[in-house]
Amino acid sequence: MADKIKKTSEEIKNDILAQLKYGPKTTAELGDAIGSNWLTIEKFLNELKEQNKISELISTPKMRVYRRTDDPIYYSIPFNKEIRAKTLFILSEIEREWKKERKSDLSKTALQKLAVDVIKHCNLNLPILSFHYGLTTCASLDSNNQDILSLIEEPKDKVVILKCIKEVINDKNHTGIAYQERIYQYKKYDLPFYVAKEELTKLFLFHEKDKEASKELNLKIKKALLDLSLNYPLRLEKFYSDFEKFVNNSQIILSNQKNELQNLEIIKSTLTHLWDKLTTFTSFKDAEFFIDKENKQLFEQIRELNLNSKEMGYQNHIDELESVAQESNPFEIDMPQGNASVDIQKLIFESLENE
Amino acid sequence: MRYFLDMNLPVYYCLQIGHPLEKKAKSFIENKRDIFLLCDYIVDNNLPRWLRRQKIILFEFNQKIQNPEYAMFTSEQSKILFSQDKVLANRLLLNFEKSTDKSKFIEDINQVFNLLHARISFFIKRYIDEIVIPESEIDFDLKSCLFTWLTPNDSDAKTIASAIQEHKNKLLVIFTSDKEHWTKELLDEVHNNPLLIKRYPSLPKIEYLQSYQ
Repeated sequence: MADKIKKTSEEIKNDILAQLKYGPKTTAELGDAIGSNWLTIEKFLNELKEQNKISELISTPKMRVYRRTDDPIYYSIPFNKEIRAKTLFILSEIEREWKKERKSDLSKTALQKLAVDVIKHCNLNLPILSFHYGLTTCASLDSNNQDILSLIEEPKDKVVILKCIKEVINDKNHTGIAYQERIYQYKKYDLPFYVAKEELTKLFLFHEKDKEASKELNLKIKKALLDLSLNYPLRLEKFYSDFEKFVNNSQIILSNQKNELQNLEIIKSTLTHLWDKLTTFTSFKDAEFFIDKENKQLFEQIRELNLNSKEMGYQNHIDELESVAQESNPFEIDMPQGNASVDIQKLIFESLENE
Repeated sequence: MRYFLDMNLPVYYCLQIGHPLEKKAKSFIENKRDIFLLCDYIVDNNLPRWLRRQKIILFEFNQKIQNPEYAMFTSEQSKILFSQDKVLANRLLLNFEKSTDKSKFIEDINQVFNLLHARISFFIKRYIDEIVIPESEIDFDLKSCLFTWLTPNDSDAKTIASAIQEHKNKLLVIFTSDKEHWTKELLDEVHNNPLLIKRYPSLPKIEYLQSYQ
């Protein structure tokens, strides 16, 4: 029988961290990969947790799934090794090339926007997620984390990708400034829902700078909310009822002459949570196509976990928004004046008579 | 007096079009000296469903004006729309196409639908004194009898059945604008049924919004 070399505790912990570089894993999977029994693995997992190097992604009585706290993949979605490595390669090469060509650092947002251009420009079969600030890759790059950088491998199509990166960086519309990069991407890929959200965010920022917000700001926010409604994408129709509830209550609050400034804060925070919920849904939707068969179940568990937690966050806020809206008397808010409004209401009236 | 209200009344009250029925509804509600009742079926089922359909009509309208290639009523949620809802959505689009100030029309339509929803919810809280007859307790025989004469209007059958049942608990008057379907002759059919005449020996009177002074 061959002698088994006993590993030190540091070696086992490093082995665990090395395994988790390629995505989240269950206790059993880690045990099998490292060749340790359940008790040993549990002990070291707990130590790594205490050192804040890993965290429990899913915890049920039957199963625990762990992830590295520095996992570069958004939501720790279980993409395969190739997707992880190639995406990180693109991100790191863009960062390097940008520094070389433009002699400046790139913001994280800008890096993502450039990387999306590269993936699309090169027709690379890599995930692009509809994240909360627009289209992104599936990973975030921390170029100071050598351990994660060691994941990067040169892809077979390296030459094509590097050529693509050069072309994208040569596009003068890329400024490297986060706000400008977002707007450029939203226009380039026709994302009017994101444009409308950006405008709303901008108005809320004005409000933060100038607390003496005026009626004028209220009107602008009302218009921006309408614009958001008009550009509501069909792919999110299952959440339309939530969205409509948010818009409806916000419009009532903003139409109230006695609207107080703190109400804008409630509208803003509800929007943030609603947006988070919507874009978590779209991100997972975009990701699902790229998940290998053996990881489908884990993917669904992570998806459910995230959607549930976003839903809870949203519910707390929408309830508060609704209760503020209900303090207003909607009969003190006039229906819009003019023939168009009367004609619209007449049509509703006639339709009701046919009920 | 206890007035049992038809669903149309809150909606008329919430509109601003200068229609005679709207004016009468406003006068009736604002000079309130009586008890107003709505049935559980209207509050918990029919009105929310109607409002949901209105939201979907607005969704369809907004989708179409933003993207002319969008084929109306192809969204998943539009499957619950009735034919009259589709007619309404198409008529709104026709009006939009004819309008000279498109931006104003879009603002107006969104505001009207939003405000209508808020007003109806507010109306129920402020003016309705009692919500009567849980939907699950609607007398099936009574509803079926009414449905025979109201076919295919299940909503009206449930609402009128609720009124008759509540009238048995405590006297009430039905208040509606629907002169065509909500008639004394319809209620009399209940008494043509030997089982129901025993169960409901007294039937409520009907008053019409049109006759309100």
